[in-house]
Amino acid sequence: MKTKSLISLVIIDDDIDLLELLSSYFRQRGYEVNSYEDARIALSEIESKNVLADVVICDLKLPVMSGLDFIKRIRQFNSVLPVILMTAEGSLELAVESIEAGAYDFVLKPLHVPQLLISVQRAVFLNHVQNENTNLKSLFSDQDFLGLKGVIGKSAGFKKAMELAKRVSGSQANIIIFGESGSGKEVVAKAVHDLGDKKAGPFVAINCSAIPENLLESELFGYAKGAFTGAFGSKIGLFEEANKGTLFLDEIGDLALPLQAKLLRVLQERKIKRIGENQTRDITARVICATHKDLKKEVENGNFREDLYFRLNVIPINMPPLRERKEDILPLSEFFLKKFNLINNVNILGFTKAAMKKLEALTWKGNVRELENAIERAVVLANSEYIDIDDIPGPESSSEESKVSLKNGIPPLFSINNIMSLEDVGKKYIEFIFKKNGYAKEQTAKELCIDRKTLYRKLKELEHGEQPLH
Amino acid sequence: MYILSEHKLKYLNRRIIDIEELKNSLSQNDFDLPKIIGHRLKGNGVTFGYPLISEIGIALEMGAIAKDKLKILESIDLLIQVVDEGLKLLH
Repeated sequence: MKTKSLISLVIIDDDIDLLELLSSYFRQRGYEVNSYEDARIALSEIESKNVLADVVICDLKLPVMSGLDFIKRIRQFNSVLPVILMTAEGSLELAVESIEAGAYDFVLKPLHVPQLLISVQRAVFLNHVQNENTNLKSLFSDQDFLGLKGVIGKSAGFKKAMELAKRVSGSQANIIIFGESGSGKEVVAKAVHDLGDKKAGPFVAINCSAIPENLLESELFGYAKGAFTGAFGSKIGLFEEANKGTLFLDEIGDLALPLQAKLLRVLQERKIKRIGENQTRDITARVICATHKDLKKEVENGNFREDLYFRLNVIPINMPPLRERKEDILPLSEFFLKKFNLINNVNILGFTKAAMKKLEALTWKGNVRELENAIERAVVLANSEYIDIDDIPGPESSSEESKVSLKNGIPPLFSINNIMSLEDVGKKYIEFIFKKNGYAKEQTAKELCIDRKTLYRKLKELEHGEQPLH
Repeated sequence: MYILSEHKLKYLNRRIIDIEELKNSLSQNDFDLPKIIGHRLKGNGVTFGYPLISEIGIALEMGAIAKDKLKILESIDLLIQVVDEGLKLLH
């Protein structure tokens, strides 16, 4: 975990003896110290950001600019920087005036330096908490869209999807969101929820493909006590849990046919029955569905009920894949950078130009989810203040096909369009390593963890089967 | 102890300069400098391990405010003694 290397301390006092003593004392304890006899110079250095102070220790009685004036001036551009005032004039009125002016603490001279250290340590902690709070607020306020927190994007495709979400949020019509995995379908669903009249209610999301069919039914509808073996008590389902709110059914295209029939009935009648119960219960939750599949094709193939398709497909919203909304990549990357800076307690300042170009050039097959993972990885592994091109995973992870290839003309080892037998894969792999090592047999054998004799035999087999390898 | 000998030595040597400046200012009936020096010594004597210097600082500041030459002179004499003794202990 990376943290800021040193805590930066600014000390202002016209007493050179104390200035030297405090500077030496705090430097010995790992602080970075900038000391000034004149508060005006310190103020100018802090304001121009030549000095990034975490805490300021300032004498109250200074010849040109007093400690109180210093605080008043600094508060005009920095409302949180803790300033500890020192003074030989110990009066309660002065202490109150200092605190009112914005001082963090008020320390009396003659100084007890270890006591001052405690005050500094507490001020550093306060500064850290305040900065964290500010960063958290900015994370969710910098890039709001439609007044929604953490909804980021400026591409035409994204805006179109979100504008449509806004328009339909007030209606009761069924909504289905189409989009590739990781493209942000749940963000759209949440936007519909937050902008609509159900926003006071819960937003309950479930991925239909992640739960086995029999479990999914009990999850959705709930069950009565004794409904099946192991049902020791009754349980409310997600339709009921989302009462007066929104139920988001993700990957609805993966729903089994029997459950599709049950879902259709719920959508038509707005009533559910818990498993093992005869009593019907009204549901008030809005149901929003999403899928990465082409449901029309699924209907044609007999995998999805046509009546449910028509029932759901009242208002379709398309969330384009990230590769079709390149303008969103950098704002999203900035957002994830802030997020993972906070989570990992680091301070990566941004991306180099080369890194930004690479981010925009990649195809992001896994969409926003893949981008988020890539930024998290980059934040954790970055060696400098800026994420560079090498910190971002290479294009192979985002290419159209998952393949391993070399620049020297070796064909892809794995390709979706060319399924090989296990035996052929083995041969190709030996060929691949052999060429990679410049036909060095010893190195190849070592890398393949086989002895040289075995390698010779394998190479001979290869030569018999195809053209010579060298 | 958090005050190193080198800091104490530097501190006492600077007081020798203070003593000279105090004497000069007094010969010119200047009470501003004794007030400034007195205030400073009041604030830093104890911190460097010399509570007597802080006491002298208080006396100097008060003497300067009252324009009491005698009190200032007495304080200077006392300061000379404390600095001498302090330097002897350090050497």
